[in-house]
Amino acid sequence: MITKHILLKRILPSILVTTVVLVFIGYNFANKKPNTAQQIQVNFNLEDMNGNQFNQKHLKQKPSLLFFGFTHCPDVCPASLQLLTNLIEDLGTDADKINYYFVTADPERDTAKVLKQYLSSFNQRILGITGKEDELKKLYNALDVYIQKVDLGKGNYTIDHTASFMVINKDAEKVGTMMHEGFSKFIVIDNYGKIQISKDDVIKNLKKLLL
Amino acid sequence: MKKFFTIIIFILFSTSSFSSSHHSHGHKKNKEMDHDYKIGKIEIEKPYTFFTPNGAKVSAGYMKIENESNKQDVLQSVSNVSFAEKVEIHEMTMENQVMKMRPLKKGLVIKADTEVYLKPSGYHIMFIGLKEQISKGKKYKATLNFKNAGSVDIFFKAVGRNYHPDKNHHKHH
Ligand SMILES: [Cu+2]
Repeated sequence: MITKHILLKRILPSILVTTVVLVFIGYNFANKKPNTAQQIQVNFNLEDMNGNQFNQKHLKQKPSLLFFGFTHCPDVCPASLQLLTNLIEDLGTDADKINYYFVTADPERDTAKVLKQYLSSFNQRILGITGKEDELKKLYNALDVYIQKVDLGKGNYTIDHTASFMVINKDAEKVGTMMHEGFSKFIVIDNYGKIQISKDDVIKNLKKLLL
Repeated sequence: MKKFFTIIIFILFSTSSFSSSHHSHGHKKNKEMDHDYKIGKIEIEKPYTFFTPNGAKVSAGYMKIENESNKQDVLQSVSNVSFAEKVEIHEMTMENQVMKMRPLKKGLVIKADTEVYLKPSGYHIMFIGLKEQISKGKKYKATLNFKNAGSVDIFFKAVGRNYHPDKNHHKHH
Protein backbone atom coordinates (compact mmCIF):
# COMPACT_ATOMS: atom_id res chain seq x y z
CA MET A 1 0.00 0.00 0.00
CA ILE A 2 2.80 2.36 0.88
CA THR A 3 4.60 1.49 -2.33
CA LYS A 4 1.44 2.09 -4.31
CA HIS A 5 1.05 5.53 -2.78
CA ILE A 6 4.62 6.46 -3.51
CA LEU A 7 4.07 5.44 -7.09
CA LEU A 8 0.85 7.39 -7.32
CA LYS A 9 2.14 10.48 -5.65
CA ARG A 10 5.03 10.65 -8.08
CA ILE A 11 3.54 9.54 -11.33
CA LEU A 12 0.03 10.90 -11.20
CA PRO A 13 0.98 14.56 -10.90
CA SER A 14 3.46 14.08 -13.68
CA ILE A 15 0.87 12.76 -16.06
CA LEU A 16 -1.68 15.39 -15.06
CA VAL A 17 0.60 18.38 -14.91
CA THR A 18 2.72 17.73 -17.96
CA THR A 19 1.47 19.80 -20.83
CA VAL A 20 2.59 20.28 -24.37
CA VAL A 21 3.74 17.16 -26.02
CA LEU A 22 3.90 17.60 -29.65
CA VAL A 23 4.17 20.78 -31.58
CA PHE A 24 3.09 20.43 -35.13
CA ILE A 25 4.28 23.18 -37.36
CA GLY A 26 2.74 23.68 -40.77
CA TYR A 27 4.72 23.61 -43.93
CA ASN A 28 4.76 27.34 -44.30
CA PHE A 29 7.69 27.35 -41.89
CA ALA A 30 10.58 29.62 -42.86
CA ASN A 31 8.57 31.88 -45.14
CA LYS A 32 7.63 29.15 -47.56
CA LYS A 33 4.23 29.57 -49.14
CA PRO A 34 1.58 27.36 -47.60
CA ASN A 35 0.93 24.19 -49.57
CA THR A 36 4.29 24.39 -51.28
CA ALA A 37 5.90 21.18 -50.21
CA GLN A 38 9.59 20.93 -50.60
CA GLN A 39 10.75 17.91 -52.58
CA ILE A 40 13.98 16.16 -51.67
CA GLN A 41 15.87 15.97 -54.91
CA VAL A 42 19.39 15.41 -53.71
CA ASN A 43 21.14 12.04 -54.14
CA PHE A 44 22.84 10.71 -51.04
CA ASN A 45 24.54 7.50 -50.09
CA LEU A 46 24.14 6.37 -46.50
CA GLU A 47 23.80 3.12 -44.60
CA ASP A 48 21.28 1.84 -42.12
CA MET A 49 22.13 0.18 -38.81
CA ASN A 50 21.85 -3.26 -40.39
CA GLY A 51 24.52 -2.47 -42.95
CA ASN A 52 22.12 -1.90 -45.87
CA GLN A 53 22.32 1.02 -48.24
CA PHE A 54 20.09 3.99 -47.57
CA ASN A 55 19.53 6.59 -50.27
CA GLN A 56 16.94 8.98 -51.71
CA LYS A 57 14.98 6.10 -53.26
CA HIS A 58 14.10 4.84 -49.79
CA LEU A 59 12.23 8.08 -49.11
CA LYS A 60 9.88 7.38 -52.00
CA GLN A 61 8.68 3.96 -50.89
CA LYS A 62 6.47 5.12 -48.04
CA PRO A 63 5.89 8.36 -46.12
CA SER A 64 8.58 8.89 -43.50
CA LEU A 65 9.12 10.41 -40.11
CA LEU A 66 12.74 11.35 -39.54
CA PHE A 67 14.46 12.49 -36.39
CA PHE A 68 18.02 13.80 -36.39
CA GLY A 69 19.98 13.31 -33.19
CA PHE A 70 22.85 11.49 -31.53
CA THR A 71 23.29 8.85 -28.88
CA HIS A 72 25.43 11.13 -26.69
CA CYS A 73 22.38 13.34 -26.19
CA PRO A 74 21.02 13.18 -22.63
CA ASP A 75 17.37 13.99 -23.01
CA VAL A 76 15.94 15.46 -26.18
CA CYS A 77 16.93 12.49 -28.35
CA PRO A 78 15.90 9.61 -26.09
CA ALA A 79 12.70 11.49 -25.19
CA SER A 80 11.91 11.96 -28.90
CA LEU A 81 12.58 8.29 -29.58
CA GLN A 82 10.28 7.35 -26.73
CA LEU A 83 7.62 9.67 -28.12
CA LEU A 84 8.04 8.13 -31.55
CA THR A 85 7.74 4.70 -30.00
CA ASN A 86 4.47 5.75 -28.35
CA LEU A 87 3.25 7.28 -31.60
CA ILE A 88 3.98 4.12 -33.60
CA GLU A 89 2.00 2.09 -31.08
CA ASP A 90 -0.87 4.57 -31.35
CA LEU A 91 -0.91 4.34 -35.14
CA GLY A 92 -1.92 0.72 -34.72
CA THR A 93 -2.30 -1.16 -37.96
CA ASP A 94 -1.34 1.96 -39.93
CA ALA A 95 2.11 1.97 -38.34
CA ASP A 96 3.49 -0.21 -41.14
CA LYS A 97 2.50 2.35 -43.77
CA ILE A 98 5.16 4.79 -42.57
CA ASN A 99 8.94 4.46 -42.30
CA TYR A 100 10.68 5.78 -39.19
CA TYR A 101 14.28 6.92 -39.16
CA PHE A 102 16.71 8.10 -36.54
CA VAL A 103 19.45 9.82 -38.55
CA THR A 104 22.64 10.49 -36.65
CA ALA A 105 24.03 13.99 -36.26
CA ASP A 106 27.24 12.43 -34.94
CA PRO A 107 28.63 9.89 -37.46
CA GLU A 108 31.98 9.92 -35.64
CA ARG A 109 30.53 8.16 -32.58
CA ASP A 110 27.28 6.74 -33.94
CA THR A 111 28.36 3.78 -36.03
CA ALA A 112 25.78 1.31 -37.33
CA LYS A 113 26.61 -0.96 -34.42
CA VAL A 114 26.16 1.79 -31.80
CA LEU A 115 22.85 2.86 -33.36
CA LYS A 116 21.57 -0.69 -33.46
CA GLN A 117 22.29 -1.27 -29.79
CA TYR A 118 20.82 2.09 -28.75
CA LEU A 119 17.67 1.74 -30.82
CA SER A 120 17.00 -1.74 -29.45
CA SER A 121 15.49 0.11 -26.46
CA PHE A 122 12.78 1.65 -28.66
CA ASN A 123 10.20 0.50 -31.20
CA GLN A 124 11.83 -1.95 -33.58
CA ARG A 125 10.46 -0.12 -36.63
CA ILE A 126 12.82 2.80 -36.01
CA LEU A 127 15.78 2.41 -38.31
CA GLY A 128 19.11 4.04 -37.47
CA ILE A 129 20.92 5.81 -40.31
CA THR A 130 24.57 6.77 -40.41
CA GLY A 131 27.29 7.28 -43.02
CA LYS A 132 29.95 9.68 -44.15
CA GLU A 133 29.64 13.24 -42.92
CA ASP A 134 29.48 14.71 -46.45
CA GLU A 135 26.69 12.36 -47.44
CA LEU A 136 24.75 13.05 -44.25
CA LYS A 137 25.06 16.79 -44.87
CA LYS A 138 23.22 16.40 -48.15
CA LEU A 139 20.24 15.00 -46.29
CA TYR A 140 20.42 17.58 -43.48
CA ASN A 141 20.45 20.39 -46.02
CA ALA A 142 17.68 18.93 -48.12
CA LEU A 143 15.41 18.95 -45.08
CA ASP A 144 16.64 22.22 -43.51
CA VAL A 145 17.98 20.34 -40.53
CA TYR A 146 20.53 22.33 -38.56
CA ILE A 147 23.48 20.28 -37.29
CA GLN A 148 26.52 21.96 -35.76
CA LYS A 149 29.34 20.27 -33.90
CA VAL A 150 30.51 22.39 -30.97
CA ASP A 151 33.93 21.88 -29.41
CA LEU A 152 33.85 21.87 -25.61
CA GLY A 153 37.61 21.46 -25.17
CA LYS A 154 39.69 18.49 -24.02
CA GLY A 155 38.44 16.38 -26.90
CA ASN A 156 34.81 16.76 -25.88
CA TYR A 157 32.10 18.03 -28.12
CA THR A 158 28.37 18.36 -28.31
CA ILE A 159 26.07 18.84 -31.27
CA ASP A 160 23.51 21.58 -31.69
CA HIS A 161 20.72 20.03 -33.71
CA THR A 162 17.20 20.57 -34.92
CA ALA A 163 15.06 18.68 -32.44
CA SER A 164 11.88 18.28 -34.45
CA PHE A 165 10.59 15.41 -36.52
CA MET A 166 10.60 15.88 -40.28
CA VAL A 167 7.37 14.73 -41.87
CA ILE A 168 7.88 13.44 -45.42
CA ASN A 169 5.14 12.19 -47.73
CA LYS A 170 5.57 9.29 -50.15
CA ASP A 171 6.66 11.65 -52.93
CA ALA A 172 9.63 12.57 -50.74
CA GLU A 173 8.20 16.01 -50.07
CA LYS A 174 8.64 17.62 -46.69
CA VAL A 175 5.12 18.42 -45.55
CA GLY A 176 5.74 19.49 -41.97
CA THR A 177 7.68 19.24 -38.77
CA MET A 178 6.56 18.26 -35.31
CA MET A 179 8.06 18.80 -31.94
CA HIS A 180 7.52 17.41 -28.49
CA GLU A 181 7.97 18.79 -25.01
CA GLY A 182 6.48 16.08 -22.89
CA PHE A 183 4.15 13.10 -23.07
CA SER A 184 0.46 13.89 -22.64
CA LYS A 185 -1.26 16.61 -24.65
CA PHE A 186 -0.46 17.87 -28.08
CA ILE A 187 -0.02 21.30 -29.48
CA VAL A 188 -0.40 22.00 -33.13
CA ILE A 189 0.87 25.15 -34.71
CA ASP A 190 -0.46 25.87 -38.15
CA ASN A 191 -1.24 28.95 -40.25
CA TYR A 192 -4.04 29.86 -37.88
CA GLY A 193 -1.97 29.79 -34.74
CA LYS A 194 -1.56 27.52 -31.81
CA ILE A 195 -4.17 25.03 -30.72
CA GLN A 196 -4.12 22.31 -28.15
CA ILE A 197 -5.40 19.03 -29.41
CA SER A 198 -5.69 15.48 -28.26
CA LYS A 199 -3.27 12.74 -29.13
CA ASP A 200 -5.96 11.15 -31.30
CA ASP A 201 -6.14 14.31 -33.38
CA VAL A 202 -2.40 14.29 -33.91
CA ILE A 203 -2.68 10.73 -35.16
CA LYS A 204 -5.56 11.78 -37.42
CA ASN A 205 -3.54 14.69 -38.80
CA LEU A 206 -0.54 12.52 -39.43
CA LYS A 207 -2.68 10.02 -41.27
CA LYS A 208 -4.24 12.77 -43.32
CA LEU A 209 -0.86 14.20 -44.24
CA LEU A 210 0.86 10.95 -44.97
CA LEU A 211 -1.47 8.11 -45.81
CA MET B 1 4.07 0.89 -24.36
CA LYS B 2 1.76 -1.69 -22.89
CA LYS B 3 3.38 -0.95 -19.59
CA PHE B 4 2.75 2.76 -20.12
CA PHE B 5 -0.95 2.19 -20.71
CA THR B 6 -1.14 -0.15 -17.77
CA ILE B 7 0.26 2.61 -15.59
CA ILE B 8 -2.23 5.13 -16.96
CA ILE B 9 -5.16 2.80 -16.44
CA PHE B 10 -3.90 1.99 -12.98
CA ILE B 11 -3.71 5.70 -12.21
CA LEU B 12 -7.16 6.44 -13.60
CA PHE B 13 -8.67 3.79 -11.41
CA SER B 14 -6.83 5.00 -8.37
CA THR B 15 -7.34 8.73 -8.84
CA SER B 16 -10.24 9.19 -6.46
CA SER B 17 -8.65 7.48 -3.50
CA PHE B 18 -5.38 9.21 -4.25
CA SER B 19 -6.83 12.72 -4.43
CA SER B 20 -8.30 12.57 -0.98
CA SER B 21 -5.15 11.21 0.63
CA HIS B 22 -3.02 13.71 -1.24
CA HIS B 23 -4.61 16.74 0.35
CA SER B 24 -4.64 15.24 3.79
CA HIS B 25 -0.86 15.36 3.90
CA GLY B 26 -0.37 18.59 5.76
CA HIS B 27 3.25 19.13 4.86
CA LYS B 28 5.51 18.30 1.98
CA LYS B 29 7.89 16.53 4.32
CA ASN B 30 6.09 13.25 4.15
CA LYS B 31 8.44 10.65 5.60
CA GLU B 32 7.33 7.78 3.43
CA MET B 33 7.97 9.89 0.33
CA ASP B 34 11.26 11.18 1.57
CA HIS B 35 13.32 12.12 -1.40
CA ASP B 36 14.28 15.62 -0.31
CA TYR B 37 17.52 16.93 1.13
CA LYS B 38 18.60 20.02 3.01
CA ILE B 39 21.90 21.77 3.62
CA GLY B 40 21.87 25.18 5.30
CA LYS B 41 19.25 27.26 3.52
CA ILE B 42 19.30 25.11 0.41
CA GLU B 43 16.64 22.52 -0.14
CA ILE B 44 16.88 19.83 -2.82
CA GLU B 45 13.67 18.18 -3.95
CA LYS B 46 13.22 14.88 -5.76
CA PRO B 47 16.43 14.30 -7.65
CA TYR B 48 15.80 11.90 -10.53
CA THR B 49 17.44 10.49 -13.60
CA PHE B 50 15.98 8.53 -16.51
CA PHE B 51 16.63 4.87 -17.31
CA THR B 52 19.11 4.89 -20.17
CA PRO B 53 18.67 3.29 -23.58
CA ASN B 54 20.96 0.30 -24.25
CA GLY B 55 24.59 1.30 -24.55
CA ALA B 56 23.99 4.97 -23.68
CA LYS B 57 27.17 6.80 -22.74
CA VAL B 58 25.51 9.82 -21.18
CA SER B 59 22.61 10.65 -18.93
CA ALA B 60 21.22 13.64 -17.06
CA GLY B 61 20.03 14.28 -13.53
CA TYR B 62 17.23 16.63 -12.53
CA MET B 63 15.81 18.14 -9.34
CA LYS B 64 14.40 21.28 -7.83
CA ILE B 65 16.75 23.49 -5.83
CA GLU B 66 15.26 26.01 -3.46
CA ASN B 67 17.30 28.77 -1.86
CA GLU B 68 15.59 29.96 1.31
CA SER B 69 18.40 32.35 2.14
CA ASN B 70 18.42 36.09 1.44
CA LYS B 71 21.75 35.65 -0.33
CA GLN B 72 22.33 33.99 -3.66
CA ASP B 73 24.12 30.67 -3.78
CA VAL B 74 25.89 28.78 -6.55
CA LEU B 75 25.90 25.08 -7.29
CA GLN B 76 29.56 24.99 -8.21
CA SER B 77 30.15 21.32 -8.89
CA VAL B 78 28.87 17.81 -8.49
CA SER B 79 31.26 15.18 -7.24
CA ASN B 80 31.44 11.70 -5.74
CA VAL B 81 29.70 10.04 -8.68
CA SER B 82 30.78 6.44 -9.13
CA PHE B 83 28.64 5.55 -12.15
CA ALA B 84 30.12 8.08 -14.61
CA GLU B 85 33.59 9.21 -15.58
CA LYS B 86 32.72 12.88 -15.51
CA VAL B 87 29.98 15.14 -14.19
CA GLU B 88 29.15 18.63 -15.38
CA ILE B 89 26.43 21.19 -14.81
CA HIS B 90 24.71 21.99 -18.10
CA GLU B 91 22.21 24.32 -19.60
CA MET B 92 20.02 23.36 -22.53
CA THR B 93 18.15 25.79 -24.69
CA MET B 94 15.76 25.47 -27.58
CA GLU B 95 15.78 28.14 -30.27
CA ASN B 96 13.98 27.88 -33.60
CA GLN B 97 13.58 24.14 -32.99
CA VAL B 98 17.32 23.77 -32.45
CA MET B 99 18.56 22.15 -29.25
CA LYS B 100 21.77 23.54 -27.76
CA MET B 101 23.59 22.26 -24.70
CA ARG B 102 26.44 24.01 -22.91
CA PRO B 103 28.37 23.47 -19.67
CA LEU B 104 27.84 26.15 -17.02
CA LYS B 105 31.49 26.71 -16.19
CA LYS B 106 30.82 29.06 -13.30
CA GLY B 107 28.10 26.86 -11.92
CA LEU B 108 24.37 27.30 -11.53
CA VAL B 109 23.29 30.44 -9.70
CA ILE B 110 20.31 30.17 -7.38
CA LYS B 111 19.25 33.68 -6.46
CA ALA B 112 18.08 34.66 -2.98
CA ASP B 113 14.63 33.33 -2.08
CA THR B 114 14.08 31.60 -5.37
CA GLU B 115 13.86 28.11 -6.73
CA VAL B 116 15.47 26.67 -9.81
CA TYR B 117 14.22 23.62 -11.64
CA LEU B 118 16.65 21.26 -13.27
CA LYS B 119 14.46 19.56 -15.85
CA PRO B 120 14.47 18.00 -19.32
CA SER B 121 15.36 20.54 -22.01
CA GLY B 122 16.71 22.88 -19.34
CA TYR B 123 19.38 22.87 -16.65
CA HIS B 124 20.68 19.42 -15.81
CA ILE B 125 23.50 17.52 -14.17
CA MET B 126 25.23 15.80 -17.06
CA PHE B 127 26.75 12.38 -16.45
CA ILE B 128 29.37 11.70 -19.09
CA GLY B 129 30.97 8.33 -19.78
CA LEU B 130 28.47 6.13 -17.98
CA LYS B 131 30.11 3.10 -16.39
CA GLU B 132 26.79 1.34 -16.00
CA GLN B 133 23.29 1.70 -17.38
CA ILE B 134 20.80 3.68 -15.33
CA SER B 135 18.23 1.09 -14.44
CA LYS B 136 14.95 0.62 -12.68
CA GLY B 137 14.74 0.52 -8.93
CA LYS B 138 18.25 1.83 -8.36
CA LYS B 139 19.47 5.03 -6.77
CA TYR B 140 22.52 6.95 -7.86
CA LYS B 141 24.59 8.87 -5.37
CA ALA B 142 26.22 12.26 -5.91
CA THR B 143 27.49 15.15 -3.82
CA LEU B 144 26.28 18.64 -4.64
CA ASN B 145 28.77 21.37 -3.75
CA PHE B 146 27.28 24.80 -3.05
CA LYS B 147 29.39 27.92 -2.63
CA ASN B 148 27.70 29.09 0.57
CA ALA B 149 25.62 26.24 1.89
CA GLY B 150 28.33 23.62 1.54
CA SER B 151 28.13 20.04 0.32
CA VAL B 152 25.28 17.59 0.51
CA ASP B 153 24.97 13.95 -0.52
CA ILE B 154 21.90 13.11 -2.53
CA PHE B 155 20.49 10.13 -4.39
CA PHE B 156 19.02 10.35 -7.88
CA LYS B 157 16.09 8.04 -8.27
CA ALA B 158 15.97 6.17 -11.60
CA VAL B 159 12.66 6.71 -13.38
CA GLY B 160 11.02 6.08 -16.76
CA ARG B 161 10.66 8.74 -19.45
CA ASN B 162 7.05 9.40 -18.61
CA TYR B 163 7.92 10.57 -15.12
CA HIS B 164 7.56 14.23 -14.27
CA PRO B 165 7.80 15.65 -10.76
CA ASP B 166 4.85 17.68 -9.64
CA LYS B 167 5.75 21.26 -10.48
CA ASN B 168 2.89 22.66 -8.43
CA HIS B 169 3.73 20.62 -5.38
CA HIS B 170 4.00 23.59 -3.05
CA LYS B 171 0.83 25.21 -4.27
CA HIS B 172 -1.22 22.31 -2.98
CA HIS B 173 -0.32 23.15 0.57
CU1 LIG C 1 24.13 18.03 -20.96
